[in-house]
Amino acid sequence: MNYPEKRIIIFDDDEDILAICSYVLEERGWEVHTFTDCNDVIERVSSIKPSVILMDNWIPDAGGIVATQLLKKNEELKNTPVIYFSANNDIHLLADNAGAETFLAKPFDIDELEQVIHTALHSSV
Amino acid sequence: MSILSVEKGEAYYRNILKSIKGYAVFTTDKDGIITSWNPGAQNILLYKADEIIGKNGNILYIPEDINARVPDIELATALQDGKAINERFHVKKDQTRFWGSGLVFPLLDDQENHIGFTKIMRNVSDEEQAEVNLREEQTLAQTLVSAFNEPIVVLNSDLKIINFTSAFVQYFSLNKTSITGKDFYEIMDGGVNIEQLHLKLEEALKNENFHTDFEVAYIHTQRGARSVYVKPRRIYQPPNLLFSLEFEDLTENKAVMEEKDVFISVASHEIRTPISVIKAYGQILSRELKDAKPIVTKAVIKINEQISYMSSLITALLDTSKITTGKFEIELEVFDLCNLVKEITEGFRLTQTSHKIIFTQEKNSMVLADKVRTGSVITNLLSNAVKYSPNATEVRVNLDIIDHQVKVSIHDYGMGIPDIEKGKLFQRFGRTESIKKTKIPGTGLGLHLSAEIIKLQGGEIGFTTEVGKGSTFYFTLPLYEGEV
Repeated sequence: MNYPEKRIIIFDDDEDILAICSYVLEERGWEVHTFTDCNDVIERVSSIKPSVILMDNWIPDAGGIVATQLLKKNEELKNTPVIYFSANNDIHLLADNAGAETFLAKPFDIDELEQVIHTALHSSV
Repeated sequence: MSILSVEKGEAYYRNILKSIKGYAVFTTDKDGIITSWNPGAQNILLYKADEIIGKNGNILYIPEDINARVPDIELATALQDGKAINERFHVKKDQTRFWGSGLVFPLLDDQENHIGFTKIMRNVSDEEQAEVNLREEQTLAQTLVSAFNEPIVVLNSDLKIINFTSAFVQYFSLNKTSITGKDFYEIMDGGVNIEQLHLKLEEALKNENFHTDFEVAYIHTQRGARSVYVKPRRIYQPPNLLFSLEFEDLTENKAVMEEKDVFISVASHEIRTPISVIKAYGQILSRELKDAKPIVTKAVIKINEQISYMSSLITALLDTSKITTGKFEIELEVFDLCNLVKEITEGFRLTQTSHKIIFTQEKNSMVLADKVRTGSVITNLLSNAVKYSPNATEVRVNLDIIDHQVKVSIHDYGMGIPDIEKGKLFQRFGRTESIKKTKIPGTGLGLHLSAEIIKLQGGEIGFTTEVGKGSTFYFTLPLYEGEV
């Protein structure tokens, strides 16, 4: 996948996290869509068509693992890179389990946020 | 030579004496002077017949017994009672002692006149010793078993029950009076998963050291499903093999451990979430801070520093808790340690400008280790080197291969560590007094974790230091010499 548009969906139930990420990314020219639950994940992602997704682990209702697995099973959406996002110590295992391309551990540096998006976009071909 | 005067059956008597090797048979005159000596006596007491005939039989006794007039008493008893039976130490020609069992009876001539004594003796040291050992061991086993409050059962090689503690019968709800000598599996059947027990016990008994502990399921009539930990231990060596099984109910322990894990994981998650928010806002604040009063700038910097510290503290605490509960997992892979050191030192060059990090080696140094954890050790040692040498301008990193070990050393030109504080360094929360005085922030967990990680991977960690000159911290990992 190329780098078509700077469009991202962030799934996180923490409004502060959504506000911070939106602020940082919008400043860099990103179009940011946020959701505080991961319901209707396929429909939302299909209609918005983001270039990358940031997915929280503990998110209602189904949780980040199930939501990511659903995306990865979908022929049209499986190539959209997912960055797993969690404060869990075993985040690398969770990300593997979900099938996410990479992960960002909380607490994070705002520079790291930009870096990991860059990595995710360049790791998926 | 009184015995020669006994003509009746003399040939027969002599033949018997010659043929018995396991018994010393000899005669003395009335005063205890030895008058005949059979091959068995030579065998046991090592004197030849011509060396000892004519000598006083006292030389076969130990000095303590001679002083106590034991030989005289024996002869007097034999004369009075017709025989004297004794067990005592005797002395061989080479002056070694043995435990002998003996019989003395009077020797009479044709006219029933007392002419001397016959003594028959056998060396019972070995049998005696074996019997004593067995008795002692049994007593010991009995004492040991009765001293324990844990459920323990002692079995022989036929898996028959030899001994048990009252906790054993209580725990498995058995009848105390009817289980000794019974087949262990027969007794345990019902409740305990007997196939599982059979399989695992057989496996454990195959093990030379018997130290293969295992777990079996057990359904208790009142308490329900239990998880039982079984520890087999050898008590006697073959051929009299005896071994014990100690049982420990892990059901509650397991539940507590699981609860603790869940608690730690939830607590750390709950703490990290607000920290994430504060940290990110703090960073935005410092980014947007222009023309603020110095105190405001300082406040923001301090908040960010302390938040970073809190965040690393939580990670370190979680890892420490995992190490102490044995849940710390190591994921092994083959990788080039030299490359890892290079990557990390390059990362350091980008993020800090106070010190020049010097690492120039190019050595093929494959190791089988956990790359992420090993990386965290290198990062920890490097950041310590930078942190604790605030007045220095460089840190040197070396990589050597010595005796099939890859050794990574990180040398700083910092304050060094006083002798008195050396022992504390790798302890949990082991921050030294002199470090605390410097006000350099630290959790006191970094080196502890590094040491645990290196030890878990079969390596060593250590340091050399000179106060005022600097320190070298190093670790080793076994060089991987297999195929990649």
